[in-house]
Amino acid sequence: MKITKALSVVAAAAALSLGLTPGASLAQDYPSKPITFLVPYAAGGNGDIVARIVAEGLQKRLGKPVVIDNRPGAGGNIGAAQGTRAAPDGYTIMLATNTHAINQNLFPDAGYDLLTDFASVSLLTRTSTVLLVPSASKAASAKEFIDEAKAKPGALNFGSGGNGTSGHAFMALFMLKTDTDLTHIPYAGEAASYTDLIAGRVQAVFGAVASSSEMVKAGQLRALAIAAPERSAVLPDVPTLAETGVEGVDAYMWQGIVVPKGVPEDIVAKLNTAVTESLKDEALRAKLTQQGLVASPSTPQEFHSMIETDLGRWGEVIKAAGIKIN
Amino acid sequence: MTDIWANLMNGFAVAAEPINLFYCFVGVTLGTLIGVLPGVGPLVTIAVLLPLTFGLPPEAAIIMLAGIYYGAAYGGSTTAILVNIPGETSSVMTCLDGHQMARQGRAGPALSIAAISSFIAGCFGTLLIAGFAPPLTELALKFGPPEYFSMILMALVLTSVLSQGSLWKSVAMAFTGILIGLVGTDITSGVRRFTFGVPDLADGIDFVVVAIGLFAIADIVHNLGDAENKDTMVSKIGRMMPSRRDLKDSFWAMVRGTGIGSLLGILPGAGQSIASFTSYAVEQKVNKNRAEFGKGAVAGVAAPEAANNAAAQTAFIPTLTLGLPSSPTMALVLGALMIQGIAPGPRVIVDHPQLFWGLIASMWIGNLMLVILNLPMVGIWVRLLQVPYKWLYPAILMFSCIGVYSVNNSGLGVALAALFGVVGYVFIKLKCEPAPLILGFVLGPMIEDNFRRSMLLSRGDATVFITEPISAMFIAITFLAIAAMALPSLRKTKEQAVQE
Repeated sequence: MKITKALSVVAAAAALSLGLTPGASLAQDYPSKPITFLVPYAAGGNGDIVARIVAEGLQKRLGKPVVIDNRPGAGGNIGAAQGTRAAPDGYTIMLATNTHAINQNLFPDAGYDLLTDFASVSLLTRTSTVLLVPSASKAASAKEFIDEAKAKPGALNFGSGGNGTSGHAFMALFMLKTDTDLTHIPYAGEAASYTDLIAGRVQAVFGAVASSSEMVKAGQLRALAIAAPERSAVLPDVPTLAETGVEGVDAYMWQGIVVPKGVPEDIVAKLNTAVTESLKDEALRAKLTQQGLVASPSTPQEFHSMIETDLGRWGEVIKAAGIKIN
Repeated sequence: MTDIWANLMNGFAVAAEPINLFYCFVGVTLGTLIGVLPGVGPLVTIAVLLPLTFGLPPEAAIIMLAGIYYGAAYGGSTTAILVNIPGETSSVMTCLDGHQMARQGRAGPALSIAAISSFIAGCFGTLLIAGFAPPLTELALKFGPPEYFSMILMALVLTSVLSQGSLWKSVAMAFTGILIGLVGTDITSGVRRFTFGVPDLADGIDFVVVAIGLFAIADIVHNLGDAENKDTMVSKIGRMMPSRRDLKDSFWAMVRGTGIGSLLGILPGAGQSIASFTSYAVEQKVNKNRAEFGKGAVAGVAAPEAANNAAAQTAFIPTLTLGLPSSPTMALVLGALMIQGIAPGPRVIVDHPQLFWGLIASMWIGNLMLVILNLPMVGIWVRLLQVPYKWLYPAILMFSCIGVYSVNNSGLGVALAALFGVVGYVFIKLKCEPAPLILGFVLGPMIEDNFRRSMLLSRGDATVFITEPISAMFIAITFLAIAAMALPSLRKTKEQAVQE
């Protein structure tokens, strides 16, 4: 009993010294120790690669090591829930992505709220998603594909990385906007769905340009349309959905940095500057572009309102499409 | 054919560059060491070392990572044989006979046979990648959900009667394993099953947690309670190298294991573990010394080791030709390539021939290094068994805990492993073998997943499993196996054989 009490006193003292000292004095010598970059995905995954590339740039500009801490699990929920418990001192920054915006709408018990538990620092990157069909598919364009889907409702299959993942949500949005009906075949991860897409067992997948562009270039898959306002630099010949006459399907994936709510504003500003400068670095941009990622630094306010829009949009799609976790 | 030789020669030129040789050596040595530590697998190692590869040229980086990957497979079998801890699913089968051999003072031959089978299988797998990567990719694409379902069903039925013990006990254990495998998010519906609201359980219980609990911790508790084994784990250590008879007994097992492993390895997701399960099961049915299986048969080590190493090599085929990772570890290797600015995918062979063929050549060199590195080490490892048990077991426990923790950086795993340790001790007391449980745990969720996906694709038509030719073939083998088991006359001979 005594020990627990003593421990809690120490913990409280530590919390005081970390979180509640006046922000100004903290920001001046910030950062004075290594920064933990919480990545709620497994090492080597898409989000992880973005984080590692950006961490390199941040390290250079902040003068202290930026250490990646992978806390994978539950589609990013476990890491994000952990992020809410980190001390708001600027020494824990977290990677937030579009899957968080989807999950938060999907799981009533996700354990975090992007808007109220975190303060936005900056958007890092965007990845366009692309409507993919097998190379043997009869559909040569998005329009032909939509016509085919309309001719036989429910007959075509689409693959995804699992129920409630972004691939599922993106296709749900597409079906809502095009008034089509495809049957959902969930796989254990996006990569697993590509094998069956190449073989033609599923007829479509909404995938990240980053993970599919090589298969498209090698002729194993056909890219029908990019689901973003502008074409992708990696697949410049593929038109956007808007160009083919389908409006309202802007299903890009995004990655950004947030910090626990309560981090002093000048530290947020310092971090934002470091991110923005890092993303101006040509070598770093090139690394991102190669992965089909578009460097898109923003102000904290811009990022905040983007999250807000995304949360609202996925909330509507999930409700309208009846995507449920049970 | 001449093309392949020219390409391979180019590859060897790349792999033999001093810097690449050096990183190959670093990779396989690190891999072996990591593989030996219980619970610490290649996934964690590669994740930790990934940033180190950023500064290397792409060839050196991928050669080192690949070295860690197959070096760990080597090291894993050492732990399986010496202390009965399978570090990954593919070494569960090695535990069965390998550890029995160690207990009989034959750890040396067991380790040597494991190294030799791994080397031969690894070389053969490498040749397959060099010569037949594209057609084998085509074959892999022929496997859809119905084919996976039937194949895994076959593997489960073939292996369901593992070595000693009663049939009913092993069936009960397999079902227990399936139940444990169900924990976590259901892919098809997204529902969380048996997670009790704990978010850390949303992705299920990791293999390492179950294996460390059931094998490592339960074994330690059992040994400490056993009056005979208090001083050292093994009382005598015999010869180090296998005898001529050992080599003869394991030759065909090696050949069959290599064949099974090479074929199953090309299937993304399922290959490596199913390869070792199936090859062991096949040996159990066809090997001339099958009566010895489970009691320290050398063929029972050779077959699964050959299978899992052949599969570890051919697993590079889908990874390199499709750009699709066949396991989480492969996903990391691909991630490393992407950071190097090389987009993994079907065009890697054409766009980066130096990298592709250099990697293949380095795999062969790496396998050779592993044999040279490991055969002399056998003596050192075996002497580890002479360490007083009171020193050995705290070390095993500590490393096990580190390994379990590193899986998800979560303390819950360690607590669960302790729980499985208690469960495992009860199983030992009840004379229930843990191997069928592990089988059910690994294969159960795969079967369910592929069954439901097949049903979704066929719109609920169950005949899809017999109308698809490849799937029908697996189903036919499954039924033949069941019939053979059920036939009373055959059954009797088997029982007699087991009792001998």
